[in-house]
Amino acid sequence: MSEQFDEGARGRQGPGGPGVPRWVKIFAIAAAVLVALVVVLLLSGHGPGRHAQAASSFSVLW
Amino acid sequence: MVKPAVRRGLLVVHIAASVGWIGAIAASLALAVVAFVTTDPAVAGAVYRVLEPLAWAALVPFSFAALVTGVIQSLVSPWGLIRHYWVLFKLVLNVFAVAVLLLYMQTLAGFARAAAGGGAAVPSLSPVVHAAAAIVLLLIALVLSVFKPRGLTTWGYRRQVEPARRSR
Repeated sequence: MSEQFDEGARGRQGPGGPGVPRWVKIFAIAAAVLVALVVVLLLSGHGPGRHAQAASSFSVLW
Repeated sequence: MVKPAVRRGLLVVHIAASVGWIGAIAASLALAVVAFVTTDPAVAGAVYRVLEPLAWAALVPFSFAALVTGVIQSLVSPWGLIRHYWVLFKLVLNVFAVAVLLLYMQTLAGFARAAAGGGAAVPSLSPVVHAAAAIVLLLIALVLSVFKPRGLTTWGYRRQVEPARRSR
């Protein structure tokens, strides 16, 4: 959140709206993939609980 | 409107919190790598015992400080919180990283308990992966802050054009 406000960074302004820049679409797809990955990992048993259980068993195993 | 000097002061606090957060993650990553590659189980155990307090003492406070100061900074600056895509993405990245960090605290607590139990800890790749991913997220946020790629959200566009329409 820079102090300087660049007028050139305001974005494209078409008559019907600002339009969605290409970098935003790429970021949105990457974010969706990331969220999907997290959901899949959580549903497949990867998560805080699994790690905690695994960690607590280390002392027994060793 | 907030005075420029106050905005700059808030920006300094936000940058300091963000730098502190990246630094704390870098320290965690370095320790996690040491624990993963070491052949000495005692060293790995010592690292797993210290990762949790390090996270509570530095990662969590700095992450919340970066989030809160970032929101305040955006609200008192012309950029706004949801007017520009780059600010919005930074907010999403920050919230996501804080949420994952808080969830991962349970894992770190588990590692710490196991290491404190007296047994030797098994090296785990999990802290390495999570710390590396966190650094990548924060570097993306840093790049967005520096380059400020253009793009108004629909809400930001309306905020910009409606005063102009009213003045006609």
